[in-house]
Amino acid sequence: MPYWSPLALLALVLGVVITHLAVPSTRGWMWMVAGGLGMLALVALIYLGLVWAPPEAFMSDVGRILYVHVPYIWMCMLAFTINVGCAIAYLMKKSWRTDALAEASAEVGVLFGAGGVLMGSIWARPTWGVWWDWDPRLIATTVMLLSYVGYLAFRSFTEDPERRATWSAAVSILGYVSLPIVWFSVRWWNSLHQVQSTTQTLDSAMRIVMWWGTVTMLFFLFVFIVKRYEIARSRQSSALELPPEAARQEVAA
Amino acid sequence: MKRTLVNVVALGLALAARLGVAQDAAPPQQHPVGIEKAMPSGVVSGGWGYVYAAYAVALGGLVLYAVSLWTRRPSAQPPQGDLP
Repeated sequence: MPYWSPLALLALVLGVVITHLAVPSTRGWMWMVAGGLGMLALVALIYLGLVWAPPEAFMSDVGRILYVHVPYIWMCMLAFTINVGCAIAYLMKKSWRTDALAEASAEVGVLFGAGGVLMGSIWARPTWGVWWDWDPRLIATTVMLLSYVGYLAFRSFTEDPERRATWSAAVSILGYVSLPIVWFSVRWWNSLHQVQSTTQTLDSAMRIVMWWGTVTMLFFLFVFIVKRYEIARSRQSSALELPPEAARQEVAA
Repeated sequence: MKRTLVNVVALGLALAARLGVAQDAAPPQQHPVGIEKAMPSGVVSGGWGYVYAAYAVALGGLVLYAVSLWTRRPSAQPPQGDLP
């Protein structure tokens, strides 16, 4: 993959999320269109991944797990990057919107991360011979996921909204330190896990399917974050004990 | 006809002999003798069950989380009793 592709994906998903949240006229239909396109793309991904794509040179058909495992992990990393961005933004200028977006992106990131790890474990069994190995990449990913599970637990246990927002922002920044370690772990240490694929190591047909899988999961990432954001805003309104009219405006904003 | 047949057989034998010499002259393998029996061929065969399981996890994760968001969705009109 080109070195700039993670940044391009991040810019794309951030742009769509911010547009959705900042432009009220888009809130009613944008997530529905994205959800519909996501479901169509998902059906196509199943066909492309299971039928159309060629078998991998060494892993044969088991290599088809690549097209769901890698996009899941990428979505996890994108969500955590949005989360830390919101955390820094909240500490610089207190805003309930950035706090709600941080909560939403952390939960969605944990979903994609846990799914990606589970798929990786299924993939490891026929290729490594074990379901799990205490390998640098797997340990780093586990630490990253656990730190964000802790972040969510901290948020649910803390009742004071301001204290919750401030301290969870600090926890988020601390937890994000693990993400570059996850990314570079396969290069820094001797790992069973393969290094990141590049355009030179991936067949063109396989590259198409992997990008298709990534775009498919981007649709779901967007829908999940904006819908979870609405839930977070609603809970904030209740916690801040706003009057009904103000609460409705807060949730809508 | 018979002479031609003899020539073809002779040519085949000569080629087979050359191939045999070439194989004998090949450099020795780096790994111990007999390890081929213990090692797999290097390509994973089968494994469709794992592939289906991974795709089921991918789909199941999306569906279950969508359902959880649906069940937790905020009501359009916050009930009066919830807020002072």
